[in-house]
Parts: sequence; C-alpha cells; structure tokens
Amino acid sequence: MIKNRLVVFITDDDEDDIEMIREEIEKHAGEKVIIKISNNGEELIDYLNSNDNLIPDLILLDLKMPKVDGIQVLKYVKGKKSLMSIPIIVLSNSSDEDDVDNSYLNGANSYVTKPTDYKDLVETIFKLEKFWMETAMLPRKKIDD
Amino acid sequence: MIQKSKKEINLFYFIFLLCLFLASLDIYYYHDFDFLYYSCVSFLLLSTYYLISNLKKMIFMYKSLFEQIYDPVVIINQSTGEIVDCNIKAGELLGYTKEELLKINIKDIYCNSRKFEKFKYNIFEKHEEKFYNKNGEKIDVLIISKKIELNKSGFFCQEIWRNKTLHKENADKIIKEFSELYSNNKVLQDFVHIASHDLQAPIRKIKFYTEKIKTSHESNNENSFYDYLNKVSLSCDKLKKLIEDLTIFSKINYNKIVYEKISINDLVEEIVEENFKEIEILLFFEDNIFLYASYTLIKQLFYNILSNSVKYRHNDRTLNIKITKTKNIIKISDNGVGFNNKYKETILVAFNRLYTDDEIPGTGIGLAICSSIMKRHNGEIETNGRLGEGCDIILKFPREVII
Repeated sequence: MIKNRLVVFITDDDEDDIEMIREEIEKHAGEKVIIKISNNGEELIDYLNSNDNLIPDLILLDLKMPKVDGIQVLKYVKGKKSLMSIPIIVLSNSSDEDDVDNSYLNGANSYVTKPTDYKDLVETIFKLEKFWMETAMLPRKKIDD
Repeated sequence: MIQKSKKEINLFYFIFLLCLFLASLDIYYYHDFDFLYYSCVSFLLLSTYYLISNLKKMIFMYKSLFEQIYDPVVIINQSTGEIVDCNIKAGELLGYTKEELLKINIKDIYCNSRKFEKFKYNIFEKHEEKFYNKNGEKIDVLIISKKIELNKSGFFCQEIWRNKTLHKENADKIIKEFSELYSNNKVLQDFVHIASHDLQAPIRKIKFYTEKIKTSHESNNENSFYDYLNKVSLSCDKLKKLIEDLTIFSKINYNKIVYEKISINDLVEEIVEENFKEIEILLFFEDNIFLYASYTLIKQLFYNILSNSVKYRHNDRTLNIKITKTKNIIKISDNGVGFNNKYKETILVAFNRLYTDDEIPGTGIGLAICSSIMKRHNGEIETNGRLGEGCDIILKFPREVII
C-alpha cells in the first residue's frame, strides 16, 4: 500500500549526493519511503505541475543547481496555493548565514548543511513528517493505488 | 624657524644681562661708565646685524613657501585693485606668466568688474567668481580671501584661488575610485561566499567516502572498496581544478597589465594547436585582428572561450568557429549545442552552470574569468545563445585597445 508510505522528492544536481541520501534513507526506512529524484529545479517544477504524479510529502532541495536554483524553487512552491503546504528541507553545502536566512525567508521549513553522515538527516525527515502529519494535520492526498 | 630664533633671542637677552651685571660691577668699583657705554654700543650693533640677517632668512623662506604651494595665491591692494604679489600657480590658472599677471589690474580679469567694487570694502571669506583667462575664456574660480592691514592708507587682501571645475573633477575622480573599490570589495565578498560553498562539496565527499572505505574494509567488501577509492580520487581532481581556476580568477585583478600588440588570428591558432589538436575544428577569420592588450590575459580569455566551444560542441557536426570584427567589437560564434538565451546573464556569474557536473564536467568559473579580463581592459562581454544551434560571445573593447 502506497498510502502509508512517505513520498520524498530529492532535488540535487550532484549524482553522488543523491546516491548518498538515497542509500541512507533506504537503509534506515526503506519500506516507509518512496524516493523521487530530479537533477534540477526545472524538473521538479515540471513534476509538480503535471496532475498525474504523486504529490510529494517532502522535498529535499539543494540550493545551488543549474538553470533554476533552490531559492527560485522555494519562491515558486511557497508562492503557489496548491503547493505551499509541502514541507521543504533545504539541503546545502553552504553553512553561510546569508544562505540560511535567505532560505527561511523564502519559506523553507528546515535547513540542513549537507553532513558527512546522513543519520541526522533521516532523523530530521521523520521528525518533520511526524510534526507535519500529526500537529499540523495536513490533509493527505488521495491515492487509490 | 620661529622656535629657533626664540632660542637665539634668549641667548641675546642673557648676554645683555651679563653685560649689565659687569657694567654695574664696573660702576661700583671704579666709578666710571666706560664699560656700560661700550657694551651698549656693541650690543646694539650686534643685534641690528642679527635682525637683518634673520629678516633675510625669513623673506627667503616666505618666498619659497609662497612659490611652492600647490594653490594659486595672490595678494591684492584692495583699494586700487593692483596685484601686489602672486605665485607661479596663480599665473598658470589664468594662462599668464607670473610677471604678466603682476602687471594686470584685478578689475580687468573680473568678468563682472562691478563685482570687484562690491568686494572693495566687504571681504567675504569664501566666494565664487568668474575670471577671464588669457584667451578670454571664462573660468569658475573658488576664492578664499583674508584681509591683511599693512598700513592705514589702504588694506590688502590675500586670496587663494581654486579652479572650480578642476576641483569638481578631482572630487568626481575620488568618488568614482571609491565606488569602484566598494564594488570590487562586494564582488570579493560574494566570491568568497560562493567559493566556500563550492569548495565544501568535494571535501565533504572525500570525508564521506573515506569513512565508507573504513567500514567496507572491515566487512571485506572489495568491489565497493575500489568504487569508493575511485570517488575519493575524482573528488580530489575536482578540488584541484577548482583551486586552479580560483587562482587564475583572483589573480586577474591584482597583476599589473603589460600592454603589447597581439595578433588574434595567430593567438587562436596557437591555442588550438597547443590544446585541441585531436579535435576537428574549422576556424574562420574574416580579417586580421590586432589588439593592444595584456598577452597573458587575452590568451586566457580566448583559451576559455575556445575550450567552452570545444566542451559544448555538437556531436553530430564538425565544430565551426568564426571570428569577426566590426569597429571595436570582436564576435566569436560557434555551432555547438548553444543555450537558452534567458540564461545569458547568469552564465557570466562565477559558479553558475547550465549543466550538472555529471552531464558535462566544469567548475563554472570560465566565463566569469572572461568577464573579469574584459573588465580589466575596460571592456564588456556579452553572450548570445541559440539552443541547439550555437552561441556567440561578443567582446566589446574600448577603442584604444583595438588596432
């Protein structure tokens, strides 16, 4: 049953990073999560705009990407009524204060500096999911399949 | 000078007191005034000589100061308008020699001679005037004046003249330099911010994979072991390339430019011969192009542009590169994969790329280096992309650079 599984969308231009995150999530919560991947912001926006796709429960977003960067994606997603409820975790190489401020200013729900160990990230994902699903009472999407 | 003469005057005073003391002894014991008389006379002579020689020195000092001072200074007899004294700079301001200016009445150079009458008795500390120079042109002059009374018959006025337009030009120059400095500093700040961002990634990967190697070594998993080692090595290469590019980028603005004549046609052929020998490239030159610029920087510029053309070439067709010149603009067009023209501004900024590292490897600094080199030559760079067809790099040089 897909219904109870979390759809996580990873947007990153770095294949190695995607692989690392995917590996770690699957290791810790393989059966609970469906992972979707895009290499840049444009692909993510295209994905969200087409009606046939699963709406993600969570987006993991890199800031620096070719063509459409993370901040532009944040502005787009958080500015659109139908999408603004999707939580976004910004996952960046940078620990610069300006980047952190800018991300939160544009509506990011959490900011995580890319770690060398992804255990923390998985914890953050599930904490956020718990908060989002239980406390914020987000209506879950209707999927029959 | 004044400090020094004070000391000397004190010495004189001391000698005078000593003489008086000796004279009083002379009067007390011998009851005559000879010593007093002679000492007074000799003292008078000596002090007169001292005063005259000191006055000479003072006049010499004042004269040299008056002549060497950067601002034009004049001393005017305010009642008649006659220029009593002036320095060479004052003459230069109006296009006269010093001797010529001394013969001129100040009323004659005032554009509005009635204005001088107004200032005859009321001296403003600071005011602006229009003067005629030797060629009859009007100049705006800022005057700082001070009244000096030498005798009762009339008073004199000491004026410092400043060329207002020159003054303004200097101020503008300072403002321009300051704003340049400010924007350079801003660029540097942004650069450090982004550089730290991009340098972090490979370091983090190296750390991540070495940790992985440790664990896989323990579990005797040889396949993943070599896979991880390979990733570490790739990350090191990437880091090396980044640091190399950053070094070039940071050097552009600080090294001194040595200008020389460069033939672009020869330079391009040389770059292709040295670096892209194994790739089939058709070069077209419309005519001979010569630049008067820094050889190392221009070589770097064309190397980056050509290597971009090679890197983003179309796999289905032979790479054509066409270099043309119109007036002060050099255009380099290729028939590569091109790009969507909406990204034409973003690709010039350091670390911005249109492809991921896995699609086409690169650091994203190449065009930023080109942009910096063009700025260093007071020029501009523009790009023009046509997706799937190719792109143009447009280099706008100042007129003096293109021969």
